[in-house]
Amino acid sequence: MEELSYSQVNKEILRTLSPAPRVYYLVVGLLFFGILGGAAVWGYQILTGLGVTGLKHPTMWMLYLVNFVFWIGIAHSGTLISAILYLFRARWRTAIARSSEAMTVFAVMIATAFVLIHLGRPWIFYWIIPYPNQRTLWPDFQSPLIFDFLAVSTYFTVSVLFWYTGLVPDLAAVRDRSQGFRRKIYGFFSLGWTGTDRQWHHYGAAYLLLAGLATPLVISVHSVVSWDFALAIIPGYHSTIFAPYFVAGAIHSGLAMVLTLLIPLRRIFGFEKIISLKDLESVAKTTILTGLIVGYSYIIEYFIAWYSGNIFEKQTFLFRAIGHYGPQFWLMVFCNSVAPLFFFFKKVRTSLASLFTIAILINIGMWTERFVIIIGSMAQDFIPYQWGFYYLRWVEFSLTAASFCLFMFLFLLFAKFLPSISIAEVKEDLTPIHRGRGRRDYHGA
Amino acid sequence: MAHDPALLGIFSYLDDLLAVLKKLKEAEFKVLTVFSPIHFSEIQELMGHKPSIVRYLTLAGGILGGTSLVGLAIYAHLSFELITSGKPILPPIPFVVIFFEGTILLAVIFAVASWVLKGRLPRVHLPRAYDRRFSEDRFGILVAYTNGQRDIIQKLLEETGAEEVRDVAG
Amino acid sequence: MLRGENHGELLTARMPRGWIIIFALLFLSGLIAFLVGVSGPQSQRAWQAYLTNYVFWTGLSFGAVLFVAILNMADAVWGRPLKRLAEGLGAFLPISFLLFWFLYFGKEEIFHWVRQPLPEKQFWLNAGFLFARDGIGLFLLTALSLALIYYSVKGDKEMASRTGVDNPAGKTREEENWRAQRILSPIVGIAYTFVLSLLAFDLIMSLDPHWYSTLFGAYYFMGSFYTALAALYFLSPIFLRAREMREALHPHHLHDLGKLVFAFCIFTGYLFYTQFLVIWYGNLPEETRYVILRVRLTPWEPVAWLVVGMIFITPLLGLLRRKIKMNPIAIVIISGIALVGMWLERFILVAPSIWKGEALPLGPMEVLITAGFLGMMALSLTFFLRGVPLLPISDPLFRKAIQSHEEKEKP
Repeated sequence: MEELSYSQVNKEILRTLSPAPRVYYLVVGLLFFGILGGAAVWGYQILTGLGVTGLKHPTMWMLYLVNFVFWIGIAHSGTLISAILYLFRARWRTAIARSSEAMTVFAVMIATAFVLIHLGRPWIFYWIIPYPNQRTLWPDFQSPLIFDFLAVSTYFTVSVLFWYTGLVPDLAAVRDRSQGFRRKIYGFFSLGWTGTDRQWHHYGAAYLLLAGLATPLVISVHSVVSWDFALAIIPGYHSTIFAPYFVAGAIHSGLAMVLTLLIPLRRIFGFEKIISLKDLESVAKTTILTGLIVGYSYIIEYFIAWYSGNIFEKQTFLFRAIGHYGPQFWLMVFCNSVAPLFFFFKKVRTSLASLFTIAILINIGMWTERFVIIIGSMAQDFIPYQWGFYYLRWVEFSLTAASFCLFMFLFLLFAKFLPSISIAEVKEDLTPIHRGRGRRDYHGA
Repeated sequence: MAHDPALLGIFSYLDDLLAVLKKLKEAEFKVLTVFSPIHFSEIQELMGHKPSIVRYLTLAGGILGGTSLVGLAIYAHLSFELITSGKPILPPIPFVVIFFEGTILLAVIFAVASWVLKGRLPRVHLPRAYDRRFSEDRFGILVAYTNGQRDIIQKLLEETGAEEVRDVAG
Repeated sequence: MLRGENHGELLTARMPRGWIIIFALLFLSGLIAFLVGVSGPQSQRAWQAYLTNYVFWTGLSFGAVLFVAILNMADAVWGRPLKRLAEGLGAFLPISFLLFWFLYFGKEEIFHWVRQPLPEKQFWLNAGFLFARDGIGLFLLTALSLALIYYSVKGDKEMASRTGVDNPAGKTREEENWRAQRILSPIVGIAYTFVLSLLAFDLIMSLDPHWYSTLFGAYYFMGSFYTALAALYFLSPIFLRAREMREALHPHHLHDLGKLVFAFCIFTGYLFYTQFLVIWYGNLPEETRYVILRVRLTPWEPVAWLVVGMIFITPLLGLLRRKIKMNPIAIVIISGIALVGMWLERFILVAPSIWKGEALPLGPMEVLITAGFLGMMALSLTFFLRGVPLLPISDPLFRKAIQSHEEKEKP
């Protein structure tokens, strides 16, 4: 990060809150129509029933679960970057933490939407909430689906609170530059923050604790999601390595999404001075690690399937590679494990085009991985009489597309109305302004 | 909270602020507040706060959350006594997950509530002493004065490099 | 400026003579106990103890080298002064490579499938192939690890032998050494995961050839990394006391290392839990047999509980407070408990598959054989540290660590 002065940091970052060019509104409008379309399709599905999708026996979990796991996975690297890297005191976190946390919040919301979408009777979704009720029913707390509900709702709450905590001092900065109605709104959300020593004292203690609490939460949430599958007994699902494998995969896809979002954001907003190429490089290098973990998991699963001598295990993994969904499998292996290896070369990880391309490939690969695992394993389990394949229909396809529209839409709104880089944290990384250092502004004025 | 009359010194440089803060503390004047754009450990040291109680409140929240969620789960399972999948009525292994999620949830909620409340937030009106530039790049130091001290404090602030000194009444 | 840097003085550790004699005695007693054991009626017990120790100490040693590799890869500045100590723990590797081959002589006692081959698994589980592939894997990883240590030490020795004048040829050699370490580190990291997984599958999991778990390899290598961190933590207060180290090693290093031990304690517990939960929930007899034997049946049940208490609960509760993480006595106690606990953990993975007797096979023989391995590890550590500079002076990140610390100390 270049040496900016504090007021320059405020100016640079808050520039994006000023009125946007026409293009912005056009894009937001288009995305909004996409969302409306998705809502309409969902309404059609509720009225007509889940039969309009490709859902049929034996693949009782299809694209909606794939999307759910995908979006929860995306959410993870937001918390990784803001919480875990904070604990490791990694410098490259600073400029990208805010956007990543926003990405987390929106991704969790979309994942929850898919849980509702995949229900046959979505109007009674509230039956899963454990509260004393007239039905005199309680959920079964040992079911992985209940773990899921508890974990994802906890994750949503914690992500929002963590994100909001980081935002408060920045919202105060926006409030102080605004007038009238804007000032009132930002003033309300900034809780009247004034940056007193007392406030910073308790805030600093809380932030460290939040980071320390969010870290195990991240790992637990995607482990819980993986247990939706691992606690079943069909081959391809029942595997002890699922929890760390899924967590690594989640972080992998999330980091790729961070790159996908931040490279254009940086360009469009002119944030090159604050989000340096080195920060993006660090993200890329981390995807090498997560890609290797995912690759290791593929190899070990294959080895153990063969070693076990269990004919069902061997069959499942054979079909995965050369069966009906074979092409998807090889796409997944290439995109997830092979593509990130190119980041070993400095030339590749310092080129914005390569960074963006490989990030997109990783996202495609990770989505496909969920498809291969979830749908592939269900399609051909123990009894050949029950085998059947899943074919995509327009309903779930449009809802998947609509989910991406919703994600982009929310992210664009965020970029317009909230500071997309953490002002306070950027300032903390700069050398503080001392009289002894000479002029206050390092670049004139 | 400043109902006493007080002087606000606005500074542009951190070392000036730290110097004047030290001097004021040594002369045992009543420093009410220090405003800063970000957290500085030097300011915190000089102001001498006790370790934050947020930590204990968070721990309390965690313990409360974990035990109450597991308590709920135990109550729910005992209400029905159904054996599912051949597992015991009260299975300890899955309850670890329940305990964990409950702990984190309430610990985080308590942590956020405590930093907000301990910072004496939310407040509807900003204090009189607040200057908009404090969230940008200026520091502020609010010193209460009794009879006769006003001029001494003002001189001290100006000599150590205050950009501006303002009288802030209650 | 650090004493010894650029002045040809090597800061090396001088372990008092008395300790070396003790370590040598430990080794001899272990050797004798083992030889007596294998020639006696309970030779299976001796081999079982040998295997347990082999997987424990080898895992520890490789884990320590992994720590060095991770420090290099993460550009981590904080841990630099500990680098040499970690490399010292890796000095055991050539000995461990030798010790691997002795397992061949006990193969009938250890591996049930040698006497009674499993027809469907015969391709993989036969003595020749197992020793060949593990031998190659171990050779590879040992060579890579020793290379990493070599370049690190080489750089420091070369730097210390220069008389302080920055000569260009010296600078290039220094850069080459550092570059070699940078390239070797990720390779060591990747090889570590695969070789230790292979070791876990072949030497531990195959002891019960009908059982399998995909996480087992990762469980073993992450547990070994945790063991290595605990060993480093155990030794660091002793290392800190050396007068020469005081300039470079500070209490905050202990704090940071303590946080790392804490984190990996939780992570190892997490890996254990995720394997346990999946097996418990699926309730498939071919998987649960293995776990039930160790957790529910005598004589293993008490050991299992003891293990949980020692490797998970004790460090978790003990390392919560900042002051404890920096207190030398607390450090030695807590990490000592964790280390003994990890040994027992490896024991409870290995022994129940081999030992079919009624009583717990934990007695003087096991203690002495363990002492033997401990003696070997301690001797290799001692002789390594004698011959090399104690601080990685040629490591650019180490100099950065010293500089940033000096800057912090300025008024």
